[in-house]
Parts: sequence; C-alpha cells; structure tokens
Amino acid sequence: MLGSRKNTPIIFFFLALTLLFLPAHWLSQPELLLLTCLKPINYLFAESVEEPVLPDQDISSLSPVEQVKVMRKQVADLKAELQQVYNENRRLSQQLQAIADFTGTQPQNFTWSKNYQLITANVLINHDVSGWRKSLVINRGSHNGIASGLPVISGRYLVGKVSKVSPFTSRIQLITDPGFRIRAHVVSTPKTVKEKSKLIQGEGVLEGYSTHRTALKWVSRDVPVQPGWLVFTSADFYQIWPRGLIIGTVESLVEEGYFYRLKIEPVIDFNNLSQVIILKKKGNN
Amino acid sequence: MRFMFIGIAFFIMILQMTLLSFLEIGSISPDLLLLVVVLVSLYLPTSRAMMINWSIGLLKDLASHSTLGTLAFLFMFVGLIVSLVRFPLMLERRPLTYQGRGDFSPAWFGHEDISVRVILSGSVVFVCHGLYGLGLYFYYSSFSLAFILLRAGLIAVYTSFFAVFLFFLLQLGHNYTLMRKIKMDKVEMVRSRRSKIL
Repeated sequence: MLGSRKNTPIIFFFLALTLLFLPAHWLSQPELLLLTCLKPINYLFAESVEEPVLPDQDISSLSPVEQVKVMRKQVADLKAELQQVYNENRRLSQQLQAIADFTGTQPQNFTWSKNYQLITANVLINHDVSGWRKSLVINRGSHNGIASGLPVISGRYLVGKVSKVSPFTSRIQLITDPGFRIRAHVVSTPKTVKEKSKLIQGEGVLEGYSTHRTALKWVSRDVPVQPGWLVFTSADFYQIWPRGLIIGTVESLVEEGYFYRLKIEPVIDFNNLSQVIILKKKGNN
Repeated sequence: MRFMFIGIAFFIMILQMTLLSFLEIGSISPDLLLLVVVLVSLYLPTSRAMMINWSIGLLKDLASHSTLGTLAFLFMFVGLIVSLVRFPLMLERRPLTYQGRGDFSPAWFGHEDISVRVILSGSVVFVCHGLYGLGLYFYYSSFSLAFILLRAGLIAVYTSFFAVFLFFLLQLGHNYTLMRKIKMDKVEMVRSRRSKIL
C-alpha cells in the first residue's frame, strides 16, 4: 500500500532525490525568501536611534534640587547622543576611507564615478554553516540595485562576488569559496629602484580552496614567482571586474607540469568584516 | 516531537552561524547539526527520523551557500544509515538504542556506552562531510581527494569532542532522573507500609 508506514521512507527518499535534481532556478525563490527573513537581524544589531533630546525644558519653576536632577538627566542624554553621532561619524569615515582606498588603486586617467556606482552594505552574517562553502550575507538586495555577479570589495581589497540576491539581502561568494573563479595576476615586489622599473607579472586563474587560503592556478613557469609577491585582479573583457584590486600575497608554490600553482594568503580577515562595497558598472541596470 | 527536534536544530544553527565561528581552528569548525541528526536517527522511528533529518538538512541548505536539497538529501541518507545500523549494534544487556517508547525521554540514554555513540557520531560526520566534499570535487575540482579525506576527518574529530559532552550530559540527565525515580519509589514504599501498619 502506498500510504503505509513501511513505504514512507522509500517515498520520502525519492521525494528528496527529486528535489535534488530539480532545476536550480526553481528552487531559488524559497532560498531568497529565507535570505529576506534575515533582514531583521540587521535591526537587532543596529544601534538604537532615538529622537534627539533638546534641553528646552523650562526648569525655572522647579526647586533647585529638581533643577539639578533634570539637568543631570539632560547631560546624560546629550552624552549618549554625542556618542551616537561619534559612532555614525566613524562609520561614515570608514566608508569614505574605503572608497578613497579603492580609487587610489585605479589608474590616474580612470574616473571611477563615471564607470562604477558604489553601494555600501553592512555584513549580517559572516559565517557559512556548511563548513565547505565560504559566503556571507549583506543587508542590501535587488531593491538597492544589487544584481548577481557584481564584484564586492573592502577598500582596495577584493572580497568576492554577489551570488544570490533577494529584495533586501544578498549572499556574497567569497574568494575562498571553491566555486569562485576569476582572472588574476601575480606581480613581483620590488626592493630597489632598478627592480621597480622591471616589474615581473604572471597571469593565472584564482580559485577558492574551502579554507582561509585561495590558489592561483595556471601561472606559467617562465615567471620566477617567489613567496611574498602580490596578487591583483586582472581586467576582464566586459570590465565588470576592475583591474588592480589586491587579493593577497603568495605563501608557497607548487609545480604542476608547465605551470605553477600558487597558494595565496588573502589580505582580508573575512571573519571580522563588517562593511563591504558592491561595485556596479554604470549602464548595467 | 518532530517540531521539538527541528526547534533544537534551528537553535543550534543560529549558534553555529554566530558563536561557533569563534571556535574555528584553521577553518575547521564542529558540525553540531549532525549530532542532532545522529540523536534523531538513534532514538526515533526510521520514517519519522528521515523526515526530521531531511528538514534539518533543508534548514542548513537555506542557511549556507550550497544548492537547495543537497544537504537535505545527505542528512536524510546518513540518518537512514544510522537507523539501519542501530539494530546490529544493539546489545542485549547494553543497548545502543531503544525504540520501544513513543516519545523522547532522558531515560532512553541509560545503560549505554558513550564511546560507541561518540564513534558513531564521528563516523556519521566523516561520511557526510566526505560525501559533500566529493560532490564539490566533482563539480568544481578545486582540491584533491586527500584534502577532502583530511578535512572531513578533522571535522569529524572536532565534532566528536562535542559529542562526548553532549552524550555525557544526557547520561547525567538520565542518572538524575533514575535516582529521583528510585527515591520516589522508596518514599512511595514507606508510605504504603505506613498505611498498612495504620
């Protein structure tokens, strides 16, 4: 009998198997719904915004003791407000610094404001529970103009790319995720002026490694790579990825046939990331 | 009952998303949700355990970057294996599992060897993470098979430490309820004797 208790595991097994092989775009909606549910977390961790307390209360009719009490309360409220303004100022300064850092990496003739729209976002969850994938969730979504595939940076450093977008939140695939692929190049770190004039470069493909490290594959063995060399993003054909964002430094290298496989240590500590910037190329709506 | 387990799983998932990142050692963190899967598979009927494990996996799928349904299927699969092996592992005097009752109670965790359950939990974590890593290997081929085995093994060992605490706490809970029951029985016996004398 179909509905008997004995057959339940078999029916359930096949149901689960069917879900596994359903097209990914059919399943994206429930995932996005959950991502949207994560939005309230942002309010939980956000600092409370209160109405400003203005010391305009008439205290002349009060007794001196009560006057002192009211004034003390006003001083405490103003202190709290000052702290709030100070925190907000610090946060905005950090954002400005991050944008300035990013523009500093670009060539002088490059006007980023003409090419890119910068969308700042706070990190809601900076840890992936799967143990193998590496991702984080931010508090900006399609309502803020975010689309899948956009690069995510923190200052002059590359963080990853947008992989899933819901109306109010998005999931970022980090550069350490095994599914992350991008063109990148390794550059020598000059110690003398003579070396500066002769920078050595080598191209490769950056791949995540499920750990805190990434790998740069397919770097030609003609390039004399050494540990400590810097790894930057390479410009792509569609110019979605800006050239020159710092990824990390070379930790070690392994020979694989005619190529090197470089182990890269990212500059960013993803566990302590609180803010990111999403780069949206202008004209891509 | 199933909602209680899903509630526990949801709580653990929140814990894993927030606090457990501090317990990360070299990108290896314990998988406490799989311990819930082991518990569910050991102490609930197979069909119900499959359903709950699938729900727990789906919850984890939604909270991670993996494709929806992958971990749900994997959790259900490893849960089913545990449900199948619990009977061969069951001993007459020291049963690993006990399925006679219809509900969850601390008394279920009595007279069992903690080490057996911890090894079983470790094996489940190893198999689950190994299979997940294999899936990533065939899909992305970013890392080697040796790396997958090593990583799955380390996660299993790390999670087993938490399994020791979990099962030890459950054992303590069982001992406490058992002692309380004995005490209550004694009191009841004294009362009945008194009433007989009077």
